[in-house]
Amino acid sequence: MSKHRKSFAQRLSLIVIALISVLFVGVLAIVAQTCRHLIADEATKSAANLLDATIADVEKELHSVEVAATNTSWMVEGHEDDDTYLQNLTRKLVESNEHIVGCAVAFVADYRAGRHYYAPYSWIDAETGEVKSTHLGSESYDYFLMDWFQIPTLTKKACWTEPYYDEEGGEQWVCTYSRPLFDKDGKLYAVVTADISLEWLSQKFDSIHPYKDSFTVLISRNGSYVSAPDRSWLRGATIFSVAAEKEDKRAWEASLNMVKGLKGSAEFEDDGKSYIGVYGPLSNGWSASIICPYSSVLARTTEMNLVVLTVALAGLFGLFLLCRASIERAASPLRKFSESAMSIAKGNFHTKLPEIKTDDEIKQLRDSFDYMQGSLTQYIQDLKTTTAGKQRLESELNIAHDIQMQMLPKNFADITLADVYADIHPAKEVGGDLYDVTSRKNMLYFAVGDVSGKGVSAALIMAITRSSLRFVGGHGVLLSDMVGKINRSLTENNESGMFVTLLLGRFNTETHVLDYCNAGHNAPVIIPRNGEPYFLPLISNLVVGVMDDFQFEMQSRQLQEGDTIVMYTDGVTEAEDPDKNQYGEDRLMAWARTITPEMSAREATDRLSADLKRFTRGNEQNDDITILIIRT
Amino acid sequence: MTRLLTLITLVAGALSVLHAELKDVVFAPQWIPQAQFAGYYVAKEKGFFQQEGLNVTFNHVGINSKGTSLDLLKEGRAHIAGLQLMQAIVARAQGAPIVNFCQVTQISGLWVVAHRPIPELKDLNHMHIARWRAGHSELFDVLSHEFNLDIEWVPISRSVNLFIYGAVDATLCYSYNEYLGLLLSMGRIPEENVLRCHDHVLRAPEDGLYVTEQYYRDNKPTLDAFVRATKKGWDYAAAHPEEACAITHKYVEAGHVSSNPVMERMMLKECLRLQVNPDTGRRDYARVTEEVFNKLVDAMYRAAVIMKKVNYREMIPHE
Repeated sequence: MSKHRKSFAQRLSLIVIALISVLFVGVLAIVAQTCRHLIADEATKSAANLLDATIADVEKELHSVEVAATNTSWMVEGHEDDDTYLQNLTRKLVESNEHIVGCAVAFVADYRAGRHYYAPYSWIDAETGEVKSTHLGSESYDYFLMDWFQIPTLTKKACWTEPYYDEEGGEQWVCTYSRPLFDKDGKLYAVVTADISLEWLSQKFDSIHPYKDSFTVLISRNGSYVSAPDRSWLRGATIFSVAAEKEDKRAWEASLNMVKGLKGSAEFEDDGKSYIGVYGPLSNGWSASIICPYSSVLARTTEMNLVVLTVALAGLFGLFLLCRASIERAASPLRKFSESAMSIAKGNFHTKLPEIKTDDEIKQLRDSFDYMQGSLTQYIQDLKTTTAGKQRLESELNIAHDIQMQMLPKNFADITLADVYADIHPAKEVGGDLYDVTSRKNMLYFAVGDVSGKGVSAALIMAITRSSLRFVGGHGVLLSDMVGKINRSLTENNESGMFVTLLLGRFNTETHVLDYCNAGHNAPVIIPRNGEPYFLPLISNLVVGVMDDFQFEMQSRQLQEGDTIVMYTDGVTEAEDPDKNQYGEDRLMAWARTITPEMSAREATDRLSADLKRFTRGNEQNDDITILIIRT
Repeated sequence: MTRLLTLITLVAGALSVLHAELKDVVFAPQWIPQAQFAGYYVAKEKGFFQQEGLNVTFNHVGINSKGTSLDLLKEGRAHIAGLQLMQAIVARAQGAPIVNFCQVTQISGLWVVAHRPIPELKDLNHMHIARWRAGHSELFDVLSHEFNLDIEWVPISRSVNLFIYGAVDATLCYSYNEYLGLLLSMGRIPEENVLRCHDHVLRAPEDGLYVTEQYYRDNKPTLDAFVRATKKGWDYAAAHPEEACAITHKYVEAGHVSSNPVMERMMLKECLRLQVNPDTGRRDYARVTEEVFNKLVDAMYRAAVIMKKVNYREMIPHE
């Protein structure tokens, strides 16, 4: 399954759109929030105005009830003992006032002789709608203890009672307006009452809907519901019991303000829904409130937000398309650059770059590409030339190596006077070490040398020295004279200041006398046939090529048949392992002890080469290594 | 084999209980339907009474009958009545042959709420205080006498509106009833305006279950069964308050009682608190001790609430 890759233009467009979206959402959120507050404020003001109008309307209705009751109370005066009159009076009040469902003129205890209770009462039968009359007061209905009688009696003021269920006739939830009556002496003797139905008030409030799902409530002085959309609230719920169920402190605080008779507004939550409520007091101590769900208040904002959001989304999509097309057009040279770069990478250094007509970053990129292409072409050309030169040099060095190796004897089988073997390992293609072995009658001549330095210059000196050896040699010539001649030959015109360590030897295979002349070279190791190996004692002559008139001394030593002479250059003793430890003379001597009389010169040479290899552990060879072994 | 016989006997016993005729018991709580009696309603609705072989019906004063629960008991219109201990002592002192067979609440929930701070009993002096005409406040007569208080009592039926409308300076109230009504009407009652009678000298347990002496003698197993079912009902109400309130609300609705779910929940919680024995910290229905009883009777006698002392063992039989 191939992975879908978004193009540069698509990605850049998405980034731009994302940034614009974030900006847009931020702006929209601020605008929406501001609109919310403005609309909520407007809604609050509007609801508050509506509430004021409603309160005024309700107060007008309640006032008409109060006026009717007050007028009735005046008509009681002078007819206190006229039972029929009072009964008709209460009846007329109920019949003539559509909002009054009950009326009583309740006298204080024993006002009339022989009548503990005296309270003519008329009410509308809730079922039949017929106005009925009776007398209140009995042992089971002691109206002296009813709020509607007791409160005005004790406070000496008219009042609206709390909602209560009228069990004595009305059989419905009512509120009563009670007005105390006083005689000429100011003594309270009766209470006139007018009952209103809570259902009537609720129906009146039900019609007030400033917003969808909004509702209006009316509460009494003790927080009981006089009117509420949920009729069950009328049966004992208080504004605090409802607020307690909402578990929102703001609702409780607003309830406190309402029972205190304050005006204001509050926001609260119920069942995860936000509400805003305005409240205000009535003159009789009650309080009314309009409660609106926030969602309804903000419905228009939500609609507006949806329209803005839809337009914005469409705009963003259009912007995305436009952006992508523009970026694709602007970035099309990049694609051509990519193709050119790919072509150059494949070795087509003369690939044509796209032409840019604009003078911008793309043009700069094109110029940089052009410069890079030129530099790359030149670099590759230089590299080719350098590589070719190097290859030529390597080839020549290989030839020089071959020539140098050819100058050194390799076929030791021709030498029958002794078992001889030599090995040489230049550190570079060509080296400065040399050796030579030749025999004449019973005499075996040999030499080992080491030119200072390495490489080509050392190889040239080595070649000169090697040629001089054969040139200066001859029967009866002293070894010291040979070294002296070579020294003079090298010292002349030695402007480079190079020198050679050299050891010349001559071994008489009959007498076993070893003559030798040393010019600053390492001491050979003598391995006696029977006995401990030792370094051949040397006079510390000067190296050759430094002082032309230096007198070299020769030395002699009697060897025994079967003794072994081991010559080497300092590449052996100074060979280093990776830790910079040198092979040294002790290890060389240890190797010498392992050489037995049965071993051939080649075997001994190979063992030393192998021991060196083990010791250096693959470390880079720093100096030429030469080994020459003669077994007498 | 023995196990099988035992099982058969048990099953047969259970079936006989199920088929046996339930014994009719009329219970008169001391007031209108409310969460104060939630345990009894739960026992009825959850079938705990039936499991004990009882068919309990409620006769609520103020709803189904006039008068008090004591009247219903005396008149034979209830077999069992809920009464407050002091109310029962008064009745017994007046000759009513009633006995206590279960003490439900262990401390008094009688409080006074005033419009101004009342840290001490003496602060009630010269106040107009509303109290129920029907009684339930004998403890205050005793305290008034003990502390020599001069109080102007204003009789009320059951409303606290006189206090809210400022027609009285203070009102007596029960912590599980009128106090909660006040709280849910006023929204806030300063703590310093509340005086708790339980904190003042006398320990006066309230709600208990009473029957006549005759009924006690003849129906001991029935009363034991009633107590077992009642305890089960209260325990269930304590463990499932929401369900208990929902059950209670049915009775409240049926009685046209002015109430609300919040009030009922709060009332149940407070009633369960009053059932906790301060000596043990548990709802153990502990019988009133002779010491507490006699101390209360003596104080009532001194205050002339009763004219004759009541015998502990006669009022609270131990057999």
